[in-house]
Amino acid sequence: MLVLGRKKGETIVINDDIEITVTSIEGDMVRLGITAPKQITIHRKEVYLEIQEENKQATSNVINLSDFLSMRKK
Amino acid sequence: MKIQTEQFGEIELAEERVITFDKGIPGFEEVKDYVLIPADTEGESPFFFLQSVEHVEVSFFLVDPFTFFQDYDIKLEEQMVERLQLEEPTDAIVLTTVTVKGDISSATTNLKAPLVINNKKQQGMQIVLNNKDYAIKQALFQVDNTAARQV
Repeated sequence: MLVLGRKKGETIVINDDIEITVTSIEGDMVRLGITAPKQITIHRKEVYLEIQEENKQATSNVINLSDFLSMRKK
Repeated sequence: MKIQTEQFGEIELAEERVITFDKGIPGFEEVKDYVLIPADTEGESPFFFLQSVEHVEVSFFLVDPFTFFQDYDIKLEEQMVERLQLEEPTDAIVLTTVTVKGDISSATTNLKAPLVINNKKQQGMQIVLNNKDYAIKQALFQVDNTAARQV
């Protein structure tokens, strides 16, 4: 992993078209501003991992379909 | 084309029914092609299966979230609209995965990361909403005694 030291207001550039700027630092919280092309998706990693995990659980369902189909809309 | 499904065994579906998730679905990045099958053939149920065309074991149980959560609201960012090649908002189908552990009453749905499908172009993707109010594990059947009140 490449580790760079940056001060508030300083930016790094990745691949010519992605810029990450340190916008504020408070205690152990750093705020980052990210400018990237539209096709790049950006997520907090823990959210992404949670969604991966949830998807895996969603596929291992054994569905008793008739239970669900008997649930009537309100 | 014939497709092996986890829930219904082998079924016959038109080729045009295949929906491509270019980037896969998180956790299943390599699985791109799916078909959407209503859980009940009369089409009255809000539940669906998203079945992988190639991998019978990859099948998601999905629900129309608006049926259960009237206030549910998603805003598609421009980049998602472009990626899904959406021309009309009405071409988009929004569904959320359902996870059941044990009893049906404890079923949850992932409102944080709905699947959005372009029904015309047969393109799909799972998006992540920045809305803090939407949980990954939202109880599907609220314990609010609605049923009791109806009696």
